[in-house]
Amino acid sequence: MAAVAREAGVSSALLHYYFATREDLIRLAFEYHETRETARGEERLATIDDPLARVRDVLFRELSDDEVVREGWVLWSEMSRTAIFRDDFRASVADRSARWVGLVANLIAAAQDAGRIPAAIDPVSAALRLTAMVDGIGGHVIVGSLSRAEARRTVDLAMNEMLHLNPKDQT
Amino acid sequence: MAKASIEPSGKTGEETYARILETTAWLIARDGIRGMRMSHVAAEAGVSNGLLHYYFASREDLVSRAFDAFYDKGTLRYRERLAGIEHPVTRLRVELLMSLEDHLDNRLDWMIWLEVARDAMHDEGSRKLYQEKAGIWIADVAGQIQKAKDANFVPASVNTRSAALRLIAPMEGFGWYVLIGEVEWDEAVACIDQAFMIELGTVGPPPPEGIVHP
Repeated sequence: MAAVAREAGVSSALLHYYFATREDLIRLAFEYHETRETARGEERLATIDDPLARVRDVLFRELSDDEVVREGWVLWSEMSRTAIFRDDFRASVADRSARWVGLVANLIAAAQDAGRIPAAIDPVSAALRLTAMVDGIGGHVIVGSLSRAEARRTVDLAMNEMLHLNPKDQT
Repeated sequence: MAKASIEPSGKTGEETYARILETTAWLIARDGIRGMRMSHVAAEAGVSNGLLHYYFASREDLVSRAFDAFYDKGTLRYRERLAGIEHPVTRLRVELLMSLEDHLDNRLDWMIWLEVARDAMHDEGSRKLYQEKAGIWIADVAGQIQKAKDANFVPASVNTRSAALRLIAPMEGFGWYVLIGEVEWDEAVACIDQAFMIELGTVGPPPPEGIVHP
């Protein structure tokens, strides 16, 4: 917390006035990050017409080479770790997951309505498998055990398989 | 891996050594790598601080050897379960699905594995541990897919490493989800099982021997 106070140019006392513990600070930073990223995501999606490209956008956003995205991974893994033991953190992480899986499921369903993804796919189940994959692979990219390019290729192939896409149809 | 020059000798020494490693793994799960203290390990394992430092040169040394021992113990547990299963597709399927069965061993495994993954984002020592073991896991799954391909149970067009990644990555994601309680264990098993069929392009389910499935 001393490092945060230094970087933010505030006194340790002021920081502790606002945030009781290191965990509280991380939780609020995580929630701030999530709110900001959700707003940015909505802006980006508004500029994309193809419903299939929208699915791709939200999944690949988490694998982009971007400082904010990296921050998000670090905060999420810290939060998840704490959430194993603490209910208040669990609510915060569960909220993020519900939004993340729900968003992907809704986008898949919209792409199905537009005829871009076969109707036979269960959007919720496919969304869960895809978000779990991105959540698993993201850590490898941050740690450096997998290159960003290979992670993207992996998710791309998984999308084709899970959503029964014909590679030729993709944008 | 650099081992300390002094290794415990004799049966009692080995038992103590193993107990220290097991206690360390348990404390990593409970307190995290950052929160794990050598004094806690000594207290919980019932050894003196002096003896602990005699066996382990540093905290890093202790974490690294505990993680190795944890991984080896897991490998053994999997090997026992897979003994007698011949079909290469079934072997792989059992291996993948058993890690998401609702069992205390699995809960502990995921807590330790994902804690090292988390710490690897900041710490060079954890990064090395995680990269090494993740590499072994991916290569192992890829090797098994190759065997299934060689036996014509999986189409030759399947890229082994890529398919291995597409199976392992969601398992780690589900590892987090089940620990936090966002997804039930049996739902995670069902999802990975579906992914398994899809990714390996197997036609119909392989023989059900050895499968414990909801």
